[in-house]
Amino acid sequence: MMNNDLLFAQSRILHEEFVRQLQLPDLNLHAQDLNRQRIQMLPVTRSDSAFSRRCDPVPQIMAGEDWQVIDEQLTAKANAIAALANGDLNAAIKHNIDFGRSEFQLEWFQLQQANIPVLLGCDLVVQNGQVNICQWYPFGPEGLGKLLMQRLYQRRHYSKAFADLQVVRFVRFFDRVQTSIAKLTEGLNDPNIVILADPQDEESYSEYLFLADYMGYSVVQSQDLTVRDSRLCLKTLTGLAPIDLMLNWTGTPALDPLECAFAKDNGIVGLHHALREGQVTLCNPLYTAALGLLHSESLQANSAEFTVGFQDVHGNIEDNGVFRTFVLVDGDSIDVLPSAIITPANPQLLLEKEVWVQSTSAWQGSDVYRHTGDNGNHVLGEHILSSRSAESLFWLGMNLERTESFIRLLRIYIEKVSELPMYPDANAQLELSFLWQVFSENAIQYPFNTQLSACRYHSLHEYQSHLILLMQDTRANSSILNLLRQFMWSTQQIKNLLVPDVHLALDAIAEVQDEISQIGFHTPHQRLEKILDRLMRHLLSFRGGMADTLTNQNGAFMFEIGQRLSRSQQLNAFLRTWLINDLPSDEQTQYLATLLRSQVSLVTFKRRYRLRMSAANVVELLMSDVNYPRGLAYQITRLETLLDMLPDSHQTMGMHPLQQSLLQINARCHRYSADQLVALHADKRALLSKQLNHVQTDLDDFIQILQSRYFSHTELQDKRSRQGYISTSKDLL
Amino acid sequence: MKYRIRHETQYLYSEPVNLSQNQVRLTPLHIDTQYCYSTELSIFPRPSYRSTFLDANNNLVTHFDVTHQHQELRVIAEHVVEVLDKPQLDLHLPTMSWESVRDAIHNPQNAEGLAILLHAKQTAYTRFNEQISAFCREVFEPNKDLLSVCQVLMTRIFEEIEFDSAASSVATTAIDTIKKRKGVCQDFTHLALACLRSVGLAAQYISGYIETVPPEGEEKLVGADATHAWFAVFVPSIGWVEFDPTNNIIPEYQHVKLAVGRDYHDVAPIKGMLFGGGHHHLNVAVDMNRFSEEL
Repeated sequence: MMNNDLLFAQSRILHEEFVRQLQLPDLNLHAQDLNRQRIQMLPVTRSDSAFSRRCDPVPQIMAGEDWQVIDEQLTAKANAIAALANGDLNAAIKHNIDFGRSEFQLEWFQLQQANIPVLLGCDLVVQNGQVNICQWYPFGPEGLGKLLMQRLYQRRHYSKAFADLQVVRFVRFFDRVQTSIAKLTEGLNDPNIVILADPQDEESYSEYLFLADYMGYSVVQSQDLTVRDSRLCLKTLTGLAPIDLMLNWTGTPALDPLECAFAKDNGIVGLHHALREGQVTLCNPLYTAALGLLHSESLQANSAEFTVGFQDVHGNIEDNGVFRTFVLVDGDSIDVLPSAIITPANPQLLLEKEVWVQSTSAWQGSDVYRHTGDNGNHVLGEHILSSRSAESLFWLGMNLERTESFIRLLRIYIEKVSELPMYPDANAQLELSFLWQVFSENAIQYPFNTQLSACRYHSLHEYQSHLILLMQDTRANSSILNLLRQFMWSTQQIKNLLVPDVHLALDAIAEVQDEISQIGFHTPHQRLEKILDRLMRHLLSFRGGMADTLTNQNGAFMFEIGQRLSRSQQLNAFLRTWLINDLPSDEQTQYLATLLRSQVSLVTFKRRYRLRMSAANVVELLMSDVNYPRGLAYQITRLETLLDMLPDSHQTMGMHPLQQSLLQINARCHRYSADQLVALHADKRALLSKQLNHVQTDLDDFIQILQSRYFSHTELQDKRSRQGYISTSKDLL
Repeated sequence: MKYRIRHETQYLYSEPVNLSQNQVRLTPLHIDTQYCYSTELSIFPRPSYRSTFLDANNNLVTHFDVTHQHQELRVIAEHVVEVLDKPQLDLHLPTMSWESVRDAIHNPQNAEGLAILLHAKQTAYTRFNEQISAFCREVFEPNKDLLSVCQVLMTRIFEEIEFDSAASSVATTAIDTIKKRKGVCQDFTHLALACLRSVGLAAQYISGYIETVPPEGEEKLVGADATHAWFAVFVPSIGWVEFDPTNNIIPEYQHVKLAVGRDYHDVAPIKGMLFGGGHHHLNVAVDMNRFSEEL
């Protein structure tokens, strides 16, 4: 047995020398910079628990000879389990893995061929000079992305020390990994390779996104995939793209809920069958799950004796730690990454440290990593937009528009509640109670209630409480906080498409979100207005950032389709709520002004119609005017243009169902004159009501067709969409 | 004994199903003790993809996908099967103690041995607790002959667990059953498996059909039969020996085997995942009649 002090004496000297040269103020700045980069890896909807550890700004320096001891022992241990890693069932029996674990499946060894290269994560501790394995991780190199990120930043910050110490680079390891992956698709014509990761709300997603971007692969989630005719396919906007090789980085082999009792709810139905039929290669193969069931050599990580020089901004802290490194097993060949990420055994110390290994051979400064572009054509092209991304952009557009619209009306509501003590007349009371009903009964929010109950007056106290509920009640379908949550969730889904400038807007929105959750009954109305104004400013800045940076190739048109559709729905709901019932002229003027303000149209209206505040003029502006950017007809015209960006939106035979829907809505907007639409029958505008109800149905149909044809890729029965068209055509004729 | 079996399963959905992916284990096993003359599986609506394979337990599985909208799914399995005479095990003859069998299976040397060992491990349905251990403690006396204790266990379950179709669901586990003391054939079988596995023995869940006979003088109702479940215990040099705890009998010529596995999850006649569909209503009709024509 070798003593650790002797084993790592040289490393200790090197590390202490390195630390001695560091300047504390500089270290502080570097720590902040490093952790800012790390925070960007977090989910947008961040929580404190998700960000459990920080990067130690001081890398752990290890002498090449010392690392060699770890490398050799780890290679020997990897060699001992190589047969198991290569899918030999008899090796599993020999190794006496824990078959009692209910997740074990004999089929792991039957579904895939043996000897597929595997990339393994490995936790190890050094005890009495011996490397002991705590755990193998076969389904995802968690930590490798963080390690790489730290390396890139640390190397830039300590560039001189990095060169002086001749730190061993990652390049060869990554080259080997990519060569092994490429080998699996040799002979295939234009093969598609994807990395399967957990959803965006997991911290590992961002880490894998970073790593995949570095290596030049595409990251997908299980909901992006489907199995059809025993082929694993990626759902894209242009259709189903068959996958040839999938790297499973989800942390589990239980991916197929049809065949695994413990599969994730959002797994890939039929994946095992695709493997069985040999239609896709899964890497690491399912049988490597047996490695995760090996009994640990070292059950207690804190029994490690290797002392790591953890240092934070307050000074040196000595602790022992668990090394997480990575091993590539490709047949008989075993490669160990010449670095590790060290987690202190002391759970109080929330730091992670990168290991720099000093080279023992001649320095090769020109060794530059060749990534991405030279992966050939086996990576899914950037031009492919996954259906999930497209759908997320669509819902992001919808949610953004809904939130803005809700804020505008709420802003008016707050204003009117504030003015109530000054103008407590019947008209003001009546309008406020109407707004109360509009908000409380979901008249302008999905599912768009069309039957409002009779209005009744409320006290100022009740209005004030109502305002707070509309701001922050998380149980209510329509509250600013809930709408923001939906909006932020949508941004989370397309995180990989957002640029840093847009992240700034999102951070600002998140801050307002926190502020809203802290307001109360006694918060002055003025402050509520300020909060809403600030929120609107950040949302508009987000919208501007998206318009400025998101290309159509990355789905900008889908984002706009969502916005236009949502605005059409909103307009339809507002017109229906405000205009269906006739009102005395005084009241009507006030109501119409509120409607126009909420639609940012009062200025245009006044310039065009002067003081002629009539329902007919409002209908003309907001429903029929094809040139007015806030009007319904304009939204439909714009949607018609956007449809051109959708694949297969032009059919050689007949009309595309989406074009059919828009044509119908357009016809409804123009078939009758504004005067005909607002004609009264028993105090109701029956024709307008009927047309708007039809528009709502047509918009719903549009969304359903879009979802079936482009997002979920499930066949709509042709008969169904055709029937819908015929019945409404009759109505039009 | 030859049987003609018709097994129809119908799912009615309240809303359209956009995509349905399923696996069916409805083809009788073709083994030493039963011969399957013909088998036909009809699926409506017509699947866009259909394929068969043998699973880890050598059950014939049909995988199918329906990729267009539907609100009804019907699966009709029709078979002609002959149950062959089985070698009668004389349970009174001493064979081997249950402890020696237990020790033999816990040191597998090859894939076959491992497959048997996996049947001695707990599963989600067959977890055991102290109540189950106590239930079988009296049965598994030291050095008792394995087949005798299995028969005692079967009788004990038959006598102490009440058959009540309203008392359980497809998710009921052995622990639920021992608590309620009520259940159906699936629950009787899971309880037996939990008992056997609690002492380290390997035991199999078997799904299939059992011939039912109407009361004397009455005609047999169409569709009145049902799928059935029973268990088998592994005996070295003999193989899997079957017991039916619901009826307290050793299966002979009235039981037709469809699939075997560690628990219900391994052998479920139909399982699938679907997108859409809302609520569903399930109708199952099974007819199992003796078939006397010359084949």
